[in-house]
Amino acid sequence: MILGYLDPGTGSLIIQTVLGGAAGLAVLFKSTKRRFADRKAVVEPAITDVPSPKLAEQKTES
Amino acid sequence: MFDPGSFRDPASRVFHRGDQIFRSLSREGQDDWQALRQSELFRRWSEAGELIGTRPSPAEAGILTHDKVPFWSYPYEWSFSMLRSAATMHLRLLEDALTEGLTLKDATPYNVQFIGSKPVFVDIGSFTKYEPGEPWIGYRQFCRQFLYPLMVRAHADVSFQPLLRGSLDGISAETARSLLRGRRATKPGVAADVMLQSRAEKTMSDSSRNVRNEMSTAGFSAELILTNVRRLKKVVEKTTWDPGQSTWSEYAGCEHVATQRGPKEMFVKRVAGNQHRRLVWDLGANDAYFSRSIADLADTVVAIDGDEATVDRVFQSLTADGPDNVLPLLMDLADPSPGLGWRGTERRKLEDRGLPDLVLLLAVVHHLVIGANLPLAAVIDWIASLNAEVVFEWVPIGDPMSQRLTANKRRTEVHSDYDEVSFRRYLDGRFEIREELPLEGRRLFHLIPVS
Repeated sequence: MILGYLDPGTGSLIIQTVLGGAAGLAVLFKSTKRRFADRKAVVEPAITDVPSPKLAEQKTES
Repeated sequence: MFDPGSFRDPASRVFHRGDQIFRSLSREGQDDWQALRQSELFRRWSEAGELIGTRPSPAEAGILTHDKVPFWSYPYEWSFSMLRSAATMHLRLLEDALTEGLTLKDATPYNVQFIGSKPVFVDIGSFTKYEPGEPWIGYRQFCRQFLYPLMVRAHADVSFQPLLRGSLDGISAETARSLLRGRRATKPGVAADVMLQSRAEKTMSDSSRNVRNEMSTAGFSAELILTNVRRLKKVVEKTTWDPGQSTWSEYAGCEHVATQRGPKEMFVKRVAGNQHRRLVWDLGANDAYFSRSIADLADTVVAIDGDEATVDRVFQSLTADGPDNVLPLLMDLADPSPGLGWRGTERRKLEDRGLPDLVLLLAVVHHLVIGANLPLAAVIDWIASLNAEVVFEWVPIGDPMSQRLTANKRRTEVHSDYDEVSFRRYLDGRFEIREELPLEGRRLFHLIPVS
């Protein structure tokens, strides 16, 4: 990666995909899809790792 | 001594030793230089004189020497066509760089200088090897410092120079959006480069996402930048500005100008030709008639005028027909460019960029003293501080052009010492009058500074 000294601006970077024609839109689609996938991957284990209070209650009762 | 305007890029810094210009490169900077040096681009652009002359120093590793720019200027002193030609050149250069595996780290008009009327790219340190997946880092800067200034002039008829002088960072997307609303938003590039970018900047302002990495991983490539650059070339081509007529663009047609030009030109040429002139300032140059007529007697003539329509026409005519050593600049002499940027030294004030050895001040004094109400003594003091020979045209208060300037002023509102006796008194001790020539009520002087 270039060690840039200039602030490229996050918004300005993103719209370059839109301005890069069809290939750019493909990059935007891929990057958005990956972001959602990453977010899902972070959120899902968090749900399964923590036992719900109901399940915990049932366990102590039995 | 390091150049006070060269400090942002850690990989490359410009410094001066006497009259010579050098650039020191970090290890990374040296790698980039080697890649540039071996490129076809470097050979082609150098041969065309569009890249500043650059050679590695034979004595020291990591040091380059550069040819000297005869007179430094900044985009807030350029006319519309000058900025447009610099923008087109920058895009062409980036296109060529990308096709050879190189790119430019930034996209600022401060990397372009005019040698005469020809734009030349001077920041060799801006070239770097293109890493696959990288977006165009300079796109935002290109918009703020090249594209928005051109658009606001072309589509909203707003002067960009005060905006660029007010902020070295250029015009923000938000400001451009405010100036280019409504029907102007349908002009080429405005929807995407202004509206969309402004919205994206606002939405993403608090984001901590590493978008560069995201884009790289998703397959961003040089092809995408090239598509954008080629699109922008068309957008820039479609920015046009027709200044129409201004008070000064028709000045040469005035009767007094036409009748006095002959003897005035002979006087000016005689003085200029006394010895070789390195740098001449033609202040209040109007259509640069006298700049052109003495161009072959000097290395460089800087033709400064305060009317953009006039400066723009001069630039276009110089580009088409020469001479190639006249640099037209836009500046109000009553408010000349100050030092700007970090500590006020990043962009130098007019007098700090090399003093002239001859100054032409033809039919200017009444504008400064009567028009702008500068005291006559202060004007003479400023001219004397340049320590140069001067061709000075004295315009008396009774002159029709002076009368125009006093039309809406009371007598008490004009400095009372605007007369030839006071003028001569102020010259005393500062200048020796070498020659004078009466000219239909006006008077030409050849002044030699008393050291």
